[in-house]
Amino acid sequence: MPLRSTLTRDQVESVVVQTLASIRPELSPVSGATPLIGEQAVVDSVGFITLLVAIEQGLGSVVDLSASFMEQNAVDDSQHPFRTIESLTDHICGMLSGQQG
Amino acid sequence: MHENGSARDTAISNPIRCALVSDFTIDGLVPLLSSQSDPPAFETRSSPFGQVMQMLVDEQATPWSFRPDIAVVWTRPESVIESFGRLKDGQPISLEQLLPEVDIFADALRAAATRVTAVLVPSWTSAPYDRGTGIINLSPAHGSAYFLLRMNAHLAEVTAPAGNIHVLDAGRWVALAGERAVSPKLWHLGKILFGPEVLRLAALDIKAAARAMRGQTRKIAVLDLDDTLWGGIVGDAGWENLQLGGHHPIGEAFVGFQRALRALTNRGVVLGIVSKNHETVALEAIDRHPEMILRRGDFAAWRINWDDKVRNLIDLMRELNLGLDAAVFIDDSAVERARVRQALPDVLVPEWPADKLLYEKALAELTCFDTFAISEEDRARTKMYASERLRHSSRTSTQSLEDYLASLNLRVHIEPLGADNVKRAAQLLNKTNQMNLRTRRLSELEFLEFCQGEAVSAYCYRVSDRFDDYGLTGLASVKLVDGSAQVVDFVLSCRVMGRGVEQVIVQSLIERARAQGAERLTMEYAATARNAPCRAFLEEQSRLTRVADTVYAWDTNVPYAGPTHIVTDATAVSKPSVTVEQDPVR
Repeated sequence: MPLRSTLTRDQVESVVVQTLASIRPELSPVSGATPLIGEQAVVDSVGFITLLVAIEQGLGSVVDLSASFMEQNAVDDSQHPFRTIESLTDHICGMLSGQQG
Repeated sequence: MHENGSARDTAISNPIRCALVSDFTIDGLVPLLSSQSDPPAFETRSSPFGQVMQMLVDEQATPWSFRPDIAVVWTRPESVIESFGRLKDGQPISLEQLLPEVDIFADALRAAATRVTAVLVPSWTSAPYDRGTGIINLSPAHGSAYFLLRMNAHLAEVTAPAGNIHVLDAGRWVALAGERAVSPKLWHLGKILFGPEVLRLAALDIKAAARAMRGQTRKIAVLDLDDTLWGGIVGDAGWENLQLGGHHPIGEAFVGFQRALRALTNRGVVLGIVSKNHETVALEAIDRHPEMILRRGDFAAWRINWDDKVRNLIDLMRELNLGLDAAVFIDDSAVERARVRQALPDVLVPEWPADKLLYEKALAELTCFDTFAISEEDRARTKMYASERLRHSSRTSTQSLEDYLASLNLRVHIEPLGADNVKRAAQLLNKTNQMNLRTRRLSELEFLEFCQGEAVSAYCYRVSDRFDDYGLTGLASVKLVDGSAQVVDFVLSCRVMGRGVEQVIVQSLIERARAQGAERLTMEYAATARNAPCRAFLEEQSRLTRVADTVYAWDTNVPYAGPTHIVTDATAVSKPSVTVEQDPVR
């Protein structure tokens, strides 16, 4: 997806992956399919909150992921935009594109 | 920073048990402490949320049930010091109200400190964005930053006498993490006080404390010369043209780096050189360059030649009686770093910046030299190694080892363990790896309590020779059990190993055991990755009889002849005789 933000998708994914690595240094390798929520999640609830806020900071606080997550409260885990690194990256890119549009 | 190899494997297989006691969500620290990439790995248990004081004073509380080695007690100042909370609410308070509350908290920490080897207490901090009372934030009358400084200083002062409570500088972690240190969002979403960068830095310091507790502090920085200690290639440019000092950023940076290295020596870290160079050319630069901070006498040993650095490093460490896991290798060459890292996994080889202006920062960031205390012996260590070099050179002119040892005029003073020497004794117990019978790691308080136990005796040994006074470098403790004197601790600094002091200690223990009515003295060896020299002594030089796989014994009715080349004297313990039978020291 071409972003109108100055960040490319690869850059966004890099922020997500590096932030996850800072919270869970033993977690390697990670891939786009690495689960972030649900039974197989690689972080617990505290780690997940920390991840979201740290990603926000890593992106310069231009997106509010924690608010977005709370808005997705009713969404099933299997469809949740925060379910994997890949889906979260896509979701952030969508938020950035929306802002820029 | 990564360590690998046998010492690392040992550290991983023997994790530190750690209780986390906090009044905020501290779970984010757990995976960082559990990480095996920076040994030792931790097993952690978190206390129930928000019950700090109860947890500290109640010895039946959850965190203590798994017998932790370390407790990390990390609190918010307003939650444990009520007056500070009122200050944050804008109410006036005074130090007279505040500091007694800090004393109460310190009492609780002291209670916890009786259950673990060390209590680590990150200092109280405020959020970087919190301006407190603004431009009067450091005002003694109104400033929350002022009161926070005083609280931290007071806490450090009143807990220091305990010996095993250590206040860690969390302010540095927060400052380094900057605006990501603390987020109101993290707090409101999960009662998480600190962001991941603060926790990462905290984990580094906590692990450094654990290594210090286990005696795994690195003892020597081995340095390359060209483009590491100075700028340029001395063999090509000549010492007069090296980048060192002057009014040039790089020259000044090398001077700053050398100053930082010299400061390390005052903390007990010794310096060595392994460099591919002509020795005479390199030493001339060290001796003659007017802006060198480090001179020949600042280095414990060197290998300056064209041989493989791995071989030189092994040789240098052998000369200093140090294990490879005591060494940090600093070299600007990525190739040399990779070679040493691959060949000698026990040597710590930190990544080193290509930018010479950053050398001093890279050195300052190393946590591997951290210790809980710095003694006079530590400060004098480089001088002692210089004496050792003189001693070594004098040996080359003697005909035999016996003649050489006799020429040293060695003296050993034996004294009982007491209040005046327990600090140094505990330090020796916790730092010594090679000549250490059981490698017990105890806090000063724990060791003193053990030594004050029923049927326990403990002795310290001060060693000197014609070159130097090494201070308190030996330690032994013995417990009488059913007519047998069981040696619990047998510890000798590597600085005085192999000169017969080991036999003097054994002799003194046998004579003391006999005086106390014990029929025999036993020494049970507990193997670690690093105390093989102790086993070698017991097996080859002690003359004790091996009575079981790891147990050695001596019938106290049989006189034990100590080495004739050592003069001993004692304080308040029977003086061991020194001239019964000659026993050549191998």
